This record gives sequence, C-alpha cells and structure tokens, in this order.
Amino acid sequence: MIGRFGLGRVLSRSLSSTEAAQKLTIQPAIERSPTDLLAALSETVGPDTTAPHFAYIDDPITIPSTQSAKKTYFMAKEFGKRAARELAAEWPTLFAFDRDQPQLPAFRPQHLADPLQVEPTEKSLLAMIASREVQDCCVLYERMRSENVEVSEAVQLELFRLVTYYNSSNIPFSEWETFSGMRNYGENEQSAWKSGAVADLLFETLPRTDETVSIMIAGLCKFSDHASLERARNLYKEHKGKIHLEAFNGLIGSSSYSVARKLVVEIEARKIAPSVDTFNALLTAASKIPKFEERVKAFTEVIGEMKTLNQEAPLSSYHLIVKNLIDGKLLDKEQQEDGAYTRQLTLGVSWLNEILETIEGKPLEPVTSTCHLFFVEAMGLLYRASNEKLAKTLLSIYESPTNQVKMPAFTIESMFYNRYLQLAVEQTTSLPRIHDLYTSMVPRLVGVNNALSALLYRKLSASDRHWPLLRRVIIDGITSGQINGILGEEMRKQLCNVELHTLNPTEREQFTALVQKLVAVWIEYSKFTEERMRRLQRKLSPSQISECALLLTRIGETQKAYELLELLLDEEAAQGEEATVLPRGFARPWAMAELFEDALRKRDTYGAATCLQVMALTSTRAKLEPLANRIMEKCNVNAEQERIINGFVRLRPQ
Amino acid sequence: MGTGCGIKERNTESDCAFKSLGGLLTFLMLKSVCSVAIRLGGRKQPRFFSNSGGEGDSKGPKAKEVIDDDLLKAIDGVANNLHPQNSAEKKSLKNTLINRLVANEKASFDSAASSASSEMLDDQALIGLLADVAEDAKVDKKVPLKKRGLVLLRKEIFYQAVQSGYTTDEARVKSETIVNEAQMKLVEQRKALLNDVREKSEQDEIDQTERNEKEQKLFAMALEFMEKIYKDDIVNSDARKPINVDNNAIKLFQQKPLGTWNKTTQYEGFSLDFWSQWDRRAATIANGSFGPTNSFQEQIEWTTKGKQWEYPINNEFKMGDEESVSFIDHVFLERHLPSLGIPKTGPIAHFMHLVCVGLSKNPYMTAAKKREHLKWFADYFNVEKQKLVHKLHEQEQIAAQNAV
Repeated sequence: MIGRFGLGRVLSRSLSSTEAAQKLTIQPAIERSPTDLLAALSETVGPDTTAPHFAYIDDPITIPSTQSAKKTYFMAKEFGKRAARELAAEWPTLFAFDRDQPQLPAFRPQHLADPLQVEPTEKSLLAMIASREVQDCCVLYERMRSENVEVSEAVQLELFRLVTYYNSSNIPFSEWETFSGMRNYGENEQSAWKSGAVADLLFETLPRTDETVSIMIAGLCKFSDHASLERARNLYKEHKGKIHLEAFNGLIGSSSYSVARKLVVEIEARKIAPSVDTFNALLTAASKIPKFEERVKAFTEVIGEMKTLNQEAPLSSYHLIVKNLIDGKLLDKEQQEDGAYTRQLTLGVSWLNEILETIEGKPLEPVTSTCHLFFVEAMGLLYRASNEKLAKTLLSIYESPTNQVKMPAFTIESMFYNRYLQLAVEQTTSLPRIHDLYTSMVPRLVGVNNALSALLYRKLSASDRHWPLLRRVIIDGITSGQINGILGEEMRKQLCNVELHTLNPTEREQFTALVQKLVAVWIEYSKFTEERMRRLQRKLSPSQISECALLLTRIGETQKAYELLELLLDEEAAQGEEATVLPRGFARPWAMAELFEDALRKRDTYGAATCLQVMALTSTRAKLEPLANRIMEKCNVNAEQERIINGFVRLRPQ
Repeated sequence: MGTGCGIKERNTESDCAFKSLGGLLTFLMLKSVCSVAIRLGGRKQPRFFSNSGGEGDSKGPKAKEVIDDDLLKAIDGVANNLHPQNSAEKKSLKNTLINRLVANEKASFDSAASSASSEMLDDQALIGLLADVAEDAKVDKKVPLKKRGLVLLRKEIFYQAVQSGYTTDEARVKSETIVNEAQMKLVEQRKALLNDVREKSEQDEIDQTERNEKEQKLFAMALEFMEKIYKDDIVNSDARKPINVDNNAIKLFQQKPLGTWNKTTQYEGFSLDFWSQWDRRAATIANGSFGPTNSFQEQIEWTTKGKQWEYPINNEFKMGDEESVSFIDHVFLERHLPSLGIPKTGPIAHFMHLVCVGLSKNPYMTAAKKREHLKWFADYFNVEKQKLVHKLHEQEQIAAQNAV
C-alpha cells in the first residue's frame, strides 16, 4: 500500500511539473470476492466433455454407464460422506487430533441439538427455526408449552411461518442443500395438509391478522386436499382484511379457470400487483379446462396479460403451457389415429417455435423451482412431433452460456438428451453423424439403455456398415449388462454380418479382441453352476454356440470354436446340475453351413466331420449324404474314415 | 444352401446348369423380386405380373425389368462357366435361363396370387382408405409389393415342404402357417427390440422345441427371408414424418389479453416476503443439479463453505484478533520502554534493548503478549532492582579497573 501511494505521489508530481492540466489518477483495485477468480477459471475451462461427469472421475473401471449404475454409484458416495459426518458429529473426540490453524468450523460438524435435551428457551427455538429443523421445532415448542415456558408472539409467528410453509414436516428432499443425491433421487410423498398439527395450533393461538390468515390460506392451498381447500376458501370468505398475494395465488391455482378469473378481478380491485406466481397459478387453473380450444384461448389470454404488464414470463410458465396443451387422452397411442392429435401437436410445435424465438439469446435465470422442466417437456413434445430442427435450437439454447437454468444431470437432463439423441438418430441416415452424436453423449449425458441400443442396431442393420459405431455400441452394451438379453443376440447377429475384408488391420484387431471378450464372457456366465452363483448363470443355447463358433473361426481361433461345438455333441453338457448348455434349440443352419465350408476349404476332416455331426442333429439322411460326399471329395479321408462317415450318415433317419 | 433343393425338384426337365445353381438363383430371385418390386414402386408401371395388364401395352415385361442385375450377372457367369468356348450355346443357355426365370416369376405370382386374394383385397381396401387421407404415395405402393414377396416366400416354403416329404396338401397348410408364424415372430422381435423386452430367448427355445425338426428348418428359413423382405421397412419405420411449424396457427404472443389489470393504473406489491424468498431459495437449490462439474466449481463450493483458503492466497487469512494489529506494534517495541520507567542508559537499558529486539523477531506472539513481557520486565526492574543493578555495575567497573 505504501509503495502504491508513493508511486502515485511520484507520478502526480512529475506530471504536474510537465502538464499541469492532466492528472494521472490510479484506479483503486477492483474488489473481488474470494470466489471470483475461481468462477472466471471455471467459466473459461467449463466441464470436460471428453470425460465422465465430474462426480464420477475416479478409477476408470468404476465409471458408470447406465442410469441405474450412476444412481447407485452417486448415492453410495454420498451415503458414505453422510455416514462419516454423522460419526464425526456423534463422537467428535475421536477426530480431535486436529492441529489446523486457524480452526475451521466446517471441519467440526456439530450434532443437531436434541429438542428433548436442549434448554427450553426462545433462543433454542429460534436457532432451530433458523436451521429449518421443522419437526424438532415442533417437538421443542410442544415441550415448552407443556413446561409452561412462555413463548413470545414474535417467536410464535416465526415458527408459524416455518411450519405452515413446510406443513409441520421436515423440509422436502428437493430443498436439501448439501446432499445433491438425496435432493434429486429422494422422493417425497405428495402430502396433504396435516390437520391438528402445530401449524393449526399456532394459527388458533396467534391473533388473526392479514398475515396469519394469508399464511394459513397459502399453506392450505400448497398442501391441498379437498378438506384443506374448503377450509382455505372459508377462511378467505370470512376474513375481512386485505389478503396477501401468496394466499390469492394458492386459491387461484387450486380453482377452476372461471373462479380463478373472479379471484384475479378481486386482486386487481385491491390494487395489488400480480407476480409471476400469480400468472403461473392462472395457467395451472387454465390447464384444467377440458376443451382444447378454450384451453388455448385461456393460455393466450394469460400470456397476453403478462405482456401487457411488461412481465417477463419465466420458463415455468412455458412449461405449464407445453405440458398441458395437448389433451391427455390423445397422448395415448391408441387414440392417435384421430386428426385432433396432429392438429394439437402442430399447434404445440408452432407455439414452441414462438417461445424459442422469444427466449433465444436472452439470459435465463431460475425464477421458480420448476423452470428447468420446460426444457425436458419441450424436448418431449418435439420428439413426439419428430421435429429435429427445433430440437436442435432448444438444445443450443439450453447449452448457451446465457442460460443459468440447469436440469439435474443424471435424471431430467439425461432424459432431455436421450430424447434428443433418439430423435436425431431416428431422423438421420448418416452413420458417421450418428457415431459422432452417440460418442459425444453416451454415456456422459445419456445412460446406455436398451431402447437406444436397439435403435442403433436397427440403424446399423439397415444402412452400410460402420465398424467404429458398432464396436462402441457393443462395448457400451457389455458395460451395461446387455449381453445376456435379446440385445446379446443382436450383438452376435451384427458381428456375424461384419464383412472382415472391409476392415483395416487395426479394426480387424479390434474385431478379434471384441469377439474374444464376448465369447469369454458368455462362456463364463454359462459356468456359474455352483449353488450360490446359479442365479447369475446364463446357459449357452445351441444357436449361440453355433454363432460363437462361427465368429471364433473367422478370427482364426478354430480350436476354440470346435471345443464350443463339441458342447453340442456332449449330452452331459446339457444335463444335470453342472449343465452349461440349454437342452432346447438348434444350431443355426447358416452358421453351420459356413463352418462346414470353412473346414472343407482347409481340408480339415475333423472339423468337417464335427460340423456334419452337429448338422445331423437337425437334418435328414438325404441332406447329409451330399455333405458327406463333399467331405470325401475335399478332405484326405482314408478308407476307414470313409466307412465311418458313410455308416454315420446311413444311420440317420430318412 | 437348403433352398437349392427346392428349385431342383421343381424344374426336373431343366438343364443341369440350372439345377446346380438352383440354390443361388432361388435366393437371388427372391431378393431380386423384392428389390425390383420395391424399386419399381415409384415408376409408372409397377404391376408387371398383374392380370389386369398395362394401359394398352400388350407386350410382356422385359427380362431386365423383371430380373435383377445381380441375377443377370449370375446367369452370365453360369453361361460362361459351362460354355466358355461356344458362344452360340452360351447365348441359348442364357436365353433359356432368362425365359425360365421370367416364366417362373409369372407362374409363382399367378398361382400364389389366387391363394392370397383375400389379403390383396384387404390391401386394396387399405390403399383406398389411405388414398382418401392423401398420405405419402410411396407408403401405399409398398404394401402390395411387400405382399408379393410374402406370396413368393409362401410358395418357396411350399416347395421346400414338399421336398422335405410332406404331401401337397400338408405342404400348402404348412407354407401358410409357417409364413404367418414367421411374420408374427418378426413382429415380436421388432417389438421386443423396441419395447426393451429382455430374456425372450428362453421362451423362443421352448417354442422351437414344440415344432419338429423339419418344420423348424422351414421356419428358420422363412424368418430369414422375412427379415430380408422387411429390411428396408426398418429404415422407414424409424424415421417418422416431422410435424413442422404451422404459420397459420393461432399465435401465442399476439392474442387478446385477459384484460384484468390496467397498464396505466398503479399497483403495489402486497406479498408475504418470507414466502417469496423461500420460494426463490427452493428454486436456487433445485438448480444445483448434482454439484460441481469441474474442479474449480468444487473449489468454489469449498470456499463458500469455509473449507478452503480463500483466493488470492493471503498468509494472514483468518488470523483472528491480530488481523487489525499493525506490524509496527509488533516490531517497534522500544518506544514503550520510557513509559514503563526503564532507564535510558546503563546495563538495564542495554538488556531491555536486547529483549525488544528478540520480541520484535518473534512471529508466534501477539503484540499484546509482547507488551505484557515488557511490563513484566519493567515490574521486575523496579527502583530497588535498578539501584542494585546500578551498584553491582559500579562494583564491576571498579573491579575491572583494579584488575588492569
């Protein structure tokens, strides 16, 4: 500081001597908060799009690729953290070996005060109210009452606000600040108003003012059931004073549109300015109109009113419109033949186009807790309308730096990207584009799922081959446990269809490694014959064996292929508790035909004879005879072998 | 290929070349018919084998139009192989093969068309309906053409069944049922893929055992062909027709407002502040997703929670009371000595100078503690002690002078 002032003096002196009119003033340093530097760095760097989500950057083997694996992993980490904090709070002396200077309270979690042990004073109660421990507050308040500790009216009002806002229950998971896993995965039941709880008790204790009545009405409407709504309406009718806007909003949102319109007239008569919540409540009321045309009119009226008052509509308002525009019954697939669905969907797309034009480029902030739902709902509508162009616009708005509204990454955002990806894949025929889209989104943004994989396999079978995409989809399938279901069959089918000569040497190596890995996994699954592992066992089916053998032959692992094929001829492999092969089914004729031809080409008598024997399981003598003749022609068969082959064929049924 | 035998049986009087290549040709034929049929969907005369005939066109269709290029090439290859030298025989063989193929196509279609007439009628009705709603013409035309593939497949299965030892009547029934079953199976497979149904394979295996071996082979073949016939359908089924923006639709933002609030009237906010604040708080928390997305955001979180040293790094971060104490108070301690009654000269002054230097260099002691230390020394060096020290000092000096 001294240095700076000194420099300033020197500069000003030297300048004053030369040019008295011009004075150089040094600007004071810009005040930066402790996080400004980090925020600037974060904005410049952004999230790493080549890695999994930051929460999963750990040992690569643990990177989850499906939605359920993501949930399991995230919750496991979070529960571990919670358990550690609980231990530290419960037994702080165990963690007392702390020499950090200065001492940071963040590393010394305090156990929450027990409402049954804590001193029953207003101070304790206020501390609990500040920490939003609603149920503890209720317990302490009731204890104070039973112990005849006087609670002032101001503290009672504070408590009344808290218990009414949260319906005398602990805060919902959605408001958990520290633990984002519970916040996003935790599910609260839709709770109805708790009648006779502390909120009701306080309401009766406190004097009836505009504020208390308004809080009560707002609470009753927020946690509404039939009885609570009735009570709220009665309170509204009985109260002579001026009701606050939140109470009106609650009443509007839970009424029909015609009643809601009367209520807004009353708000206007009291010269109260509406808020975005008032308009959202009106849109909620409008969404209950059963007739499409009337609903459309109501939505436009509300949006028009917002425009009149220069009120910027938040994304939650658009969410309400997009969500409720199309008749619910038309969304059912059976009802879609009717032209009404297309008509309504077209209007939805047109409105969405208008909305996107309005919000594009504007800074978007979360105004209400449902703002982020607009994006997923809009993407859902565009997916239904298969309008990729608008979907792309929506995506760019969501990803733009001006947008601060973010969906929860592994739940709603994943659904948003999944819909976009499926739409984009569906609408394009270019496999390289699909490959780019897929690799940029899966599994970082979109978890691997069967519907998506099936869609990609269909695309892959319908178009020209694209080895990198096929390989990636199969590898993702392996990591997400698809190899034993119907998609496992699809993997074999796709691999059998790969024309090896079209692959370059690196790709052939990849093909070989992939086949080896898949076959090894299938064989390992079939060998879970022990009692405790049997629930994991997936026996090899004959068709699977034939396909695997074919794939192994193609990569040059002939011996392994014939070892597999021999399982089909080994009766014991399909019987008893140690069975690894399904007793039902047949080897694929085309696979066996190719294996047989391959054996003939190599003049491999043993291989050809094995194939013949496998084919004999499903073929007649007439079919086998020409095959046997070909073995004799192509392979070096001695007389004894010839006799055995002929005898074998002759013994087959006609 | 198993299909080759069927062709061989059917054409007993045909020449040996045709027999030996029966399998290949049957496969190519079926494929070519399907592909030709589909390719011709957009042309003027899509119904080559139709009994009704073209508009005034008495001539039959050209071979090239009926038979696929692949098939024609295959025929060329066969002719070249069998008669590499003799061009006349080669030509006659080619003609025979092409004629046989065209005739076979016609015969196949004619004979099979009658058995499938009910289906065709259904299709016509469907086409009529679809024409009314003016749907895409391509879709309409593909339906009967795909049926033709099915009809041919049914016929093929019929011959295969005869070949496998069934009687003609049995074979006819088998061909019908197997093709239908294969069609259902294909639909099921598609549905399974679409609807994410897993573990279907075991059920399939059970189904398979219910059929006998012969039937199973026919079924597998039918299914394989069915997949080929419907292959292009897969591509089309995925890409739905997009619904676009309708410029004539009711506009969202340009409609009559509700008309309740007046733009010119003054309205005042009358809100429960805590309620709206808590709503905003809930909105902010809900926007938090799953926590940080890079390590800088993680550090922001740590900083906000007080777990991390704040940027820019400052060694005096959270020093407590000392934050407001100047270094002057720590370093320049001798200025306190006069007020504490310490003599300005003499051994005590010299000693206290050393104490002050020592304390000024101690970073672990607060300024107040340093002053306390000085106070303690001042108390210690009270007047009596000062006198004593003075006396001792003088004695020392005298002793020193005597020593010299």
